[in-house]
Amino acid sequence: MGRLLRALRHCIREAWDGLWRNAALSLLSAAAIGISLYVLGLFLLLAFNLNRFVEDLGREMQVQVYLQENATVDQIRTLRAEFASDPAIAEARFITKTEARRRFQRDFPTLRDLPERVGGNPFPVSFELEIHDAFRDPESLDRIAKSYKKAPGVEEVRYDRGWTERLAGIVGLVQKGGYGIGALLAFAALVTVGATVRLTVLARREEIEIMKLVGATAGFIRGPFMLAAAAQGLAGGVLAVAGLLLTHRLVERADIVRANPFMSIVAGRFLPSGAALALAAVGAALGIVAAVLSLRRAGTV
Amino acid sequence: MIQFFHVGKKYSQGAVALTDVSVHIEKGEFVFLTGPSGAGKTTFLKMIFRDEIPSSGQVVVNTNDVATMPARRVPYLRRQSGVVFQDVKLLPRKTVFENGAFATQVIGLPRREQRSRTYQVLEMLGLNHRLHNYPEQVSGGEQQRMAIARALVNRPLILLADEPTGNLDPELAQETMGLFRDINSHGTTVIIATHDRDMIRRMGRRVIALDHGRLAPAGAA
Repeated sequence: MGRLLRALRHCIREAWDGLWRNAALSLLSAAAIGISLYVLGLFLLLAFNLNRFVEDLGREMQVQVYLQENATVDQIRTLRAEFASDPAIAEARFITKTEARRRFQRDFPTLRDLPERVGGNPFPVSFELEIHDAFRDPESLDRIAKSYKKAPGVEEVRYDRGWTERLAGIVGLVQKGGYGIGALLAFAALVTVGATVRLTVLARREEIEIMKLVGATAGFIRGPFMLAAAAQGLAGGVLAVAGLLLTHRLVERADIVRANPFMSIVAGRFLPSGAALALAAVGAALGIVAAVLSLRRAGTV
Repeated sequence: MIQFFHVGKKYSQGAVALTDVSVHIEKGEFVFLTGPSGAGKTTFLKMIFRDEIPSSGQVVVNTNDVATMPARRVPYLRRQSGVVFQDVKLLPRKTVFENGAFATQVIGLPRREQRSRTYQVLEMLGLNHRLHNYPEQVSGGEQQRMAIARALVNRPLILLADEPTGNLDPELAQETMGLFRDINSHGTTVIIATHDRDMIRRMGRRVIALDHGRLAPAGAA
């Protein structure tokens, strides 16, 4: 136990010493890891919020059944009965022309006097169908849409599937792009940290040689380098998370976000704490990997 | 303790350092390794702490076959040997005391033990008034003694010294040899590579002579 503690103390002391001796390089390494994780984090943040948005959409997904102008009360009553007996439909809400116009004016305040300008109320009467979770797949939605399309009094059946699917596709693309760019930058960071480790090894070549000759174990020699690299990586990771948090705050407060609903989706929420911690941990792991590769190439021990 | 069986060493560029060397050194022996420059003395010593591996034959140190032993065991083999290098290999940024203590740190001795052993050995070598000086601030003889101190501080079973008196004036050389004799009298096996024939004659110990990488009759070298 005492031996292990002494080895640990030696590692910490030597790592600290090495970091300070090459302070500028150490900072550069931490910054390289920080920047790569920051960019990766930005993409993750974007994908995370888009994903959340798509899920919300899915949850709120409704099927709209628009009725003809001349639909009769009987037709409406028959439809309502059919909806009530359909196992896929959780709820069918009847939307009057007035309600439809009120919603439009609420959702698009800048266009609130449009209905008056086009003459009265152009919005049709409709049913809003709330679909049970089990029937939200594309096939079931298609079946529901088809079965009511031809019903008497129905003008059109619409649902948002196409749009949500496209959006889900975009989310996937953002995620993949993020991973790709993140991987590229992570590679650049590996090279930077690796170079720092190699330079430190070179600067201490003599000392390492003597350590080996007087019987130091490989772990004793490598430990401080690995610890220093891990510390640089962790610092980079923490910087990245701090940078992301700051960016998120700034974007959240920007006027453009308040005015634009899409931007507010993108700004959304910050990463869950688990993901932020993971990002910092990835930084430390990157540092260790760089050190291992570099020590192997430098032929130490 | 140390056995060489038909040991040969060829370097990758084709140079031959040792050819068919068979030697047995007992525990507690005091041996001079001699021969002209390039005879293979340094290679011979390096094989004992596995800084070199034989290209043919076998070197066995304390039951370890140096060529086939696993890499993770090598540090422990090296802890059995204290080595005084020809070029002393002191760390310029560390003081006399730190250079001595360095070897004890590396093998993970407790701090108190590190300090007491280092003081003890530096005192024995007459360096206790130089503890806080850096290598460049002390004389060549003192640097040599620093190197000896570092070799002894871990109480090795074997002490290897490569031309330890090469840079010393005769008086200091004599004194250093006296030191090696003392160390040997406590049971440490001592092997010294030197081409100082006067010294060898005065000491009257076993001589292993090498010439062009081969064992030579002791008188001939």
